[in-house]
Formats: sequence, C-alpha cells, structure tokens
Amino acid sequence: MIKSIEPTSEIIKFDFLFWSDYWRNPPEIEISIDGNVYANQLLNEKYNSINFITKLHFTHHILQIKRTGKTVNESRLVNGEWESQTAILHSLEIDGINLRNILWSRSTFTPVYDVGQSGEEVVKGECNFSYNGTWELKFDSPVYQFVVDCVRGAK
Amino acid sequence: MTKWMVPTDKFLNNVKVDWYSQQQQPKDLEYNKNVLNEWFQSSKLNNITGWESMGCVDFTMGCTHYIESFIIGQNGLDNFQVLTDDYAYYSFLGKWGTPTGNLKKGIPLIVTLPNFNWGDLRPDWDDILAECELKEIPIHIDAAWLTLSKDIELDLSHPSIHSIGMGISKYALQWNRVGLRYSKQRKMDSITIFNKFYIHNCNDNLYDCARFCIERIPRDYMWETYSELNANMCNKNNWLQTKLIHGVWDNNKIRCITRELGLILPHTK
Repeated sequence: MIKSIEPTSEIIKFDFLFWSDYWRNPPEIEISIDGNVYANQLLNEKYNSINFITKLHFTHHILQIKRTGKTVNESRLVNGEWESQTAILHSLEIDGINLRNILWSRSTFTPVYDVGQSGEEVVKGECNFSYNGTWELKFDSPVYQFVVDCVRGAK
Repeated sequence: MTKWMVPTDKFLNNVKVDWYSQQQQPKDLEYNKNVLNEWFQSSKLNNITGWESMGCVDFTMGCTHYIESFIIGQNGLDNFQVLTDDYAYYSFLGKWGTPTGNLKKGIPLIVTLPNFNWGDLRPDWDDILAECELKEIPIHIDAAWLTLSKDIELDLSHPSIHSIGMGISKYALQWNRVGLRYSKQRKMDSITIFNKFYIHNCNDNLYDCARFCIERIPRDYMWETYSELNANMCNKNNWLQTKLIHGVWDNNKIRCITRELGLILPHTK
C-alpha cells in the first residue's frame, strides 16, 4: 500500500469585505499574516472586496489589519452632524467560512488616538475602525479545526 | 437509455449472510481505514497512481455522501459546476452541465469517473484536465463505479485533481455503502466533521462491517470472475466491451448487461 502523508500545510483563500466612507481622503489598510503583507491599499467609497490565497502551515497565525489615513482633518461638522472618514471590516471569509461571531468575539482593535482623544486601549471585537490602529485576529491552521473548536467552545 | 443494475452473485450475497450470522469482533477506526485504503489501492486491473499525493484519507458513507459533502464544502449549490452527460443526481441539484471548453474559471468541478455513458473515462478527459489546469479549476472525482472497472488510468497527483471519492457499494454492498475520500486538503464539510470531530464510536458498526466484507472480496473480483463470460457474451451478441463489467456497446448504444451475465439474484430482481 502506498502510504498517504498527512499534509502539514494548506492553501487558504481569504475574502475580506470592507466598507468605507469619506468626504476628503480615503482610509488606507494594510493586511498581513504573520508579518507578511498581502494587501496595502486605499479603500474606495462603499464596498471593497479584497482577497488573496496563501499557504498556511499547521500552526498558530496572526492576521493583522493596519488602518491608517485618519487625522482630525478628516472629520467635519455639517449642519450639526459629523462627517468623518470611516473604514469597516464588514465580513471575512476564510476557506469559504464566514467567521462572523468569531470576529466579533475573538478579534481585537488597538486604536491610535489623536491628541485630545482617549478611549479603551484595546477594544474587543471591534470591526468598525473609527480611528487609526491595528486590528488583530489570532487563529490556527487547519482552519476548519480552528472554526469548529471555536464554535464548540474548545478554544 | 439503459437501466443500470448493480451486479451480484451468490458469493457476494454470502458475504452479507456471513456478516449477519457470525459473531463479530470490533476493530479500531484506524485499522478499518487501513484495510479499506489498502483494498482500494490493490487493483491490479486499473492503473491509479499518485495516491501519495492525497494526504487526507477519510471515511465516507458512500459516494452520495462524498458529493453532498463536497457541495457543503463549496458553500452551496451556486459554487460548483458539472459537465454535460454526467450523473443525473447533479441535475436534481439544479445543475444541467457545462460543455467542455466552457467551464468557469476557478469554480470547482465534480465529475463522475468512470462515466456510465461511455463505460470508461470521458472521451474528452484529457481536454478537461488541460482546461481545468489553465482555468485553475479544482476537480473532484466521484469514482463510484471504479470497483467494477478495468484498464482505468488515472494520475491523482495531477495538480487540478483535489479529491476523489470511492465506495464499496457496487459490489452488491449497497446495504453498507462505506467508502473513502482521498483529498489533498480538508475543507469544512460533513466528511471532515465525521472524521475529525465525531471520531469516537462514530459509525463503528458500519466501518467494521465494511472491513469484514472487503477482507473477503478481492478488489478486482468482478472482472477476475466474469471477464471470460463477459467476452463470450460480447462475441456471441456482437457487443463491444467497455471498461465496466456490466456495460457494453450494443449498436453504438451503451447497454447494461447485468441481467444477461446472470448477475441478478432472485431477491435483487
């Protein structure tokens, strides 16, 4: 019998859907996994789909989104209402699985506040990037195993 | 269109009788899987290569389970494609088939091999492989009829072939239907769930039974036992052999000859 060798890595597609709004300059995002940058771009108005395929070894990984481009000059008061530059991670599918609750319960956003602003140092589950900062999700490969472990509370 | 009937005989029927009449000893999951894996790979009449490229070997409850699990893994009915002249079950799922040459880039393809319309691989199989490689289309093979075939050549290490499902049911084992899925990468689907998360005591009885049966049935049993009868029937009736033991070309039409081979038992009529 020819022995099959269980794989030690997998090829995974990441599908990000961002939503952005601005009146002056667009927000910029940089997506990386374990420090390797896969996307670095300005967001267009409304929805932005970003996807890439990468090889993941069966171990722990850190997915990061660095959100930049926001200054105090990107916000203005119009007829008593604030208009501001916004970037939102609307959804993330890994290997076709919409992570939904996993994002909301396991990710963190570390804002970089402007002078005069303050807030939580690390915001759990925040996918609405009103400030510059770094969003982070720690996950494992194989991804299917990670997702099931999350759903059944084993992680 | 001919009506396909799974062939059987007294020997195969007695395997079932033995299973129900003898005292059984349970074996562990890995033992059962190894026996099945070895059995599927042991065909001397077919040339299936590249097994080592399929690192993930998982139990299934037959090729229908393989198909349905594949669909779940692709996130539903809208995210896969099939070819024309393929298994009717796909059309029940709303897929009417895309001709070779018109496949959509990047959309996974499920294909039945050997194909019962030709009793062989599809005649355009090499073109399909080339098209899928060019368009980065993952191929998933439903090889339900492989057990009744000979002279099938398939290289599983081809980069476009991502998985293949095989089952034992065509040896008159529809009452068990266990199979294996060989894949290069697992996705989140029901086969993965059954094999990776519900492994303790999950389907032990089913897998023990499958192992019991194939330990008694040689992998190439049908062709080894009935090749001469098949050849004589073809000569006598001016039929052309296909690669399926129970399929022939009769005046350019494919025809099931399970009945003519006498491979129907009274209770299976």
